Formats: sequence, C-alpha cells, structure tokens
Amino acid sequence: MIWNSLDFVFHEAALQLKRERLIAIATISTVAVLMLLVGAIVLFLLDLHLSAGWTLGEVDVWACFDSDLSREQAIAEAAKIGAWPEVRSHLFVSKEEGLEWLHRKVASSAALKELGNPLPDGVRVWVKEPRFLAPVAQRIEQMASIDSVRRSDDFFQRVVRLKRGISWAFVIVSVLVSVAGVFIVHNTVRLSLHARWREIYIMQLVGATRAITASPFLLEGAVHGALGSALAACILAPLHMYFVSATEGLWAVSLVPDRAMPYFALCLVVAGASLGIAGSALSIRRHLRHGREWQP
Amino acid sequence: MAAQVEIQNVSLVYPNGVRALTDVTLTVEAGEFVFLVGPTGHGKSTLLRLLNREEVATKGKVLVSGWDVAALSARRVPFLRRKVAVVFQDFRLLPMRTAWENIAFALRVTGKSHRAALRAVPEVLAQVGLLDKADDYPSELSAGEQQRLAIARAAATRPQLLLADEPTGSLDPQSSGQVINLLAEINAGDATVIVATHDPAIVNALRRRVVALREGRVVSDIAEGTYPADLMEPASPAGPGSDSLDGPPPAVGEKP
Repeated sequence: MIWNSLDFVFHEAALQLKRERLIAIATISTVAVLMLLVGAIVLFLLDLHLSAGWTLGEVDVWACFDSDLSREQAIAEAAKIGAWPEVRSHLFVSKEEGLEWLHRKVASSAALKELGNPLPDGVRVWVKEPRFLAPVAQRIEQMASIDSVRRSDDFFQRVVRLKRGISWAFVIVSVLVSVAGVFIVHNTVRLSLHARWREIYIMQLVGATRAITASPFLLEGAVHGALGSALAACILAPLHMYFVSATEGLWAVSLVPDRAMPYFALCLVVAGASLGIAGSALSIRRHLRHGREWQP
Repeated sequence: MAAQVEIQNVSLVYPNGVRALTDVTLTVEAGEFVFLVGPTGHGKSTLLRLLNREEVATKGKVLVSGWDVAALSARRVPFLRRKVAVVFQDFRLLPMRTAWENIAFALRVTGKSHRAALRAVPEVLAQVGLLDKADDYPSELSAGEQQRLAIARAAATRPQLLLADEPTGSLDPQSSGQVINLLAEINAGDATVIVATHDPAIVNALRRRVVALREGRVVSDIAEGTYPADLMEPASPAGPGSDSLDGPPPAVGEKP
C-alpha cells in the first residue's frame, strides 16, 4: 500500500513538473538566486568565524608575579589561575625565559644585557572566549602575588564586536531571503494548485487521504528548492575554492577549506529542499482547509 | 438484509438560514436501488451530500455502513468516501486525462497499484462500453459517453454505496436509458444505488423504490413506485433536464 502510494506520488510529481516546466524553470532559477545569496552569506560567516577564531586564539593576558615570590610559589599561583573555568590554557614563563623572549624581540640588546635580568617570573593566560578576557585580567590584577598585568590590545575586542555585529546583520538578511524563498515556492505551488483544483477535488471525492493529496505538491516544492540550491552550490563552491587558492598566503587567517565544500553543498541542497517543502505545505494546507466546490 | 444507510430525524439548516431538510428519516437496505425524487431545490442533492460527508446535518444522525458520518474525524472521512462513490450531472471528469487515466487516477489515489489499475480499468471500460475510447479525452466523448465514463470511475473502486445526483440531467433519452441501465447493472452486482432525479421517464421505466421529497421532507416512500404526478415540474423544452421525453423511452435492460 505504502509503495503504491509512493509510486503514485512520484509519478504525479514528475508528471506535473513536466507539464508545468516553464513555471518550474522560473521557480528553480529564482530559488537559485536566493540560495546563492544565502549560501554566500553562510560561507562569508563561516570564513569570518574561522578567521576571528584564529585571531582570537592569540588573545591573552600576561601577568608578572611580585619579585619577592619564590619560583615554587609563582608556579603554584600560575597553576591556580590555570584552574579557573574561564581559562583555556596557561604557560608559566620564568624570568630567564622572559629575558630570552625580550632579547629576541628587541634588536639592540646591549643596554639590556648591562641591566642583568630585571624581569620577574610571569604567566601567560589564554581565555576560552574573548568576553572572559577583561574579567580574568581584572581578577588576576586583584591577586596579592601579582605585580602587574598586561592585556592584549583592544583591537581584538573590536574584532569580536565587529564579528558579532556582522554575523547578526547577515543572519537577519539570510532569514529574510529564506522567507522570500518560501513565499516564492508558496506562490508557484499556489499557481499549480489553481491549475489542478479539479484533480484535488476528485482525489478528495474518491477517498484520497490528505497525505496522498498533499504529497505530490510537497515533492514538487522539494524538487524546486533542491534543484535551485544545487545550482547555487555549483556556482558558489568553485568560486570559494578559487578565492581560497587565489588569496593563499595573502593574509594569515584560515578560511573554509576546499574539502568542506561537498558538505556545504549538501547542506545548501537540504536547506533548499526544506524551504520548498515549507512553501508547498503552506499552500496546500490553506487549499485543503478551505476546499473548493466544483465549477464547470 | 442489513441497513446500508440509516437517516434518523435529520434536519439541515445552512448558515444563511435556508432550511434544506426537515426531520428526514429513511432507511436503505444493502443492495437496494432507490430513486430520490422531487422538484429541483427540495433537498435531494443535499440528502446525498450528507451521505459522503460533503455536508453535516445540524440535527439527527446519518449512518452509512454503520458509521456515524457526522462523528467521523477528518482523518476517517476518506475511508468513508472509498465506500461511497458519487456520480454527478456534470460528470466531473479530468479534462487533461484520457478515459483510461481518469479511471486509473481514482484507483491510484486510493492506494491501488499500477498493476491493479492495469487489470481493473479495461474491465470497467468494457462494462460501460467504452473500451475502444480508452485513449480519448473527455472532450472527445459525447455527453452520454462522458457520463458512462464517470460511472465507470465510480464503479472501479467497487463502492458499497453509489450515489447518483441527476445522472441523466444532461443527457438525451437514449443516453439516459443507457446510464440508468448501467446503474441497475452495478446494483445487481451488490452495490446499493441511490439516484436523485426529477426525470419521471427513468423512474417510471425502472419501477424501483421511490422516495419523494418536498420542501426538505419525505412525503412518500413506495417500494415499486412511479414518479408522483403531484411532484412533476413543468416541462422545459430548452432545458437540459429530461422531464419531458420527446424521443423514445429509455430501453431499460438493453446493454449500453
């Protein structure tokens, strides 16, 4: 029974796609344009997220222990900080290691050598999320064993705020574009329902269930959405791959890798099909609820 | 014989206040052939629409094959409609599908396989004498052939109850005879048949049970009746109805 119904649903959907191919082509191309926009936004957000994640990996707090503190006490204090829930990792930096780093960073170190080693032991702390940076720095500063604290530049905070702002704006644009996609499919299926009201009437008259009546339309919507999205993915994926290879080495940020593109395309097609089903469901539900009397 | 249809004290008032049926009580046994007669607009079609849940009574109870029609959930209504087939005056065929496809469509939407349709469709097309027109579209068929096709579609699903609403209303007398013979044949094959008509010729020719409706009430119920003379409508020569038969009477019993 279920196979018979599935066979019927696929047959009817294919028949209608063939009969109304001009409408189908128009819908698929419109959905493709919309999904191109949605896909580009999603890829951009992913790139932004990866880049920001990479940049924020460098955000840290550098704290210097009080010079009266013994090495063992400093290590113990550093471990205490490392155990805080907001802290991703920490690195104890002895005064010798600190000096070595300073020599590497400062080219003319002759004067520095005369001074001996003025540096205290320190600890480098990386937080789990950028928003933890300020409170963690503040908490370290309040510790009695700490002499001074230096935070990463404010630039990173600005990057975080910018990324958040851009992400929200683009998410809103994506949602609006997706809703537009739902309405485009909804209108196409409405046209289709309008053209096929006689068949729906006969289906209901002879005892077709709501599922059987609605399924060919849902399938049609899914096909419109999936094909439109596949078209968009076919354009977007190679473009992004080209962009990644063309800009390789230009900046030290990571972008969505090429190997992720098939998954991205699959997700886009699934999203497009879901969007098509949603649009069709909206139309068919309304049509079945209000029904239509036979008119010659 | 078990009751196929039980209508108990049914009234129906439309939302606009028009009273279509008033306190109608009627029982139709399984396998019966019943004519519902009466002038146009006196409740015949409404009564039929109650039986396949196109309308719901405002008062009273309608039972079809033991199912309380009004109490059925929306989910169960399709299963009622698989037992109750309907034939209309205006045929209601799908213009974009051939005769074969019109029947196969009705079978496929109710879950029958393509193979089952391949077996059943030629059988019913042969029964209504349209096997040679299987690939014709409804627009290529005469009115009588279209009605026979509509009956074939209704019969293909093997319904327990077949409702015909003015099935000869758009037909010439000869085609009317063929259609009514077909309905009688389907009835002989165990289906209960209820025909709403104001065509005295077919009622008088067949001499079956006649239930007369006037102003939404049952005014007579005769086992082997004829069309009540007091319910006759004035003849309308230009109209599609066949109340007055200028041609030969339908040859009842003759194969279409």
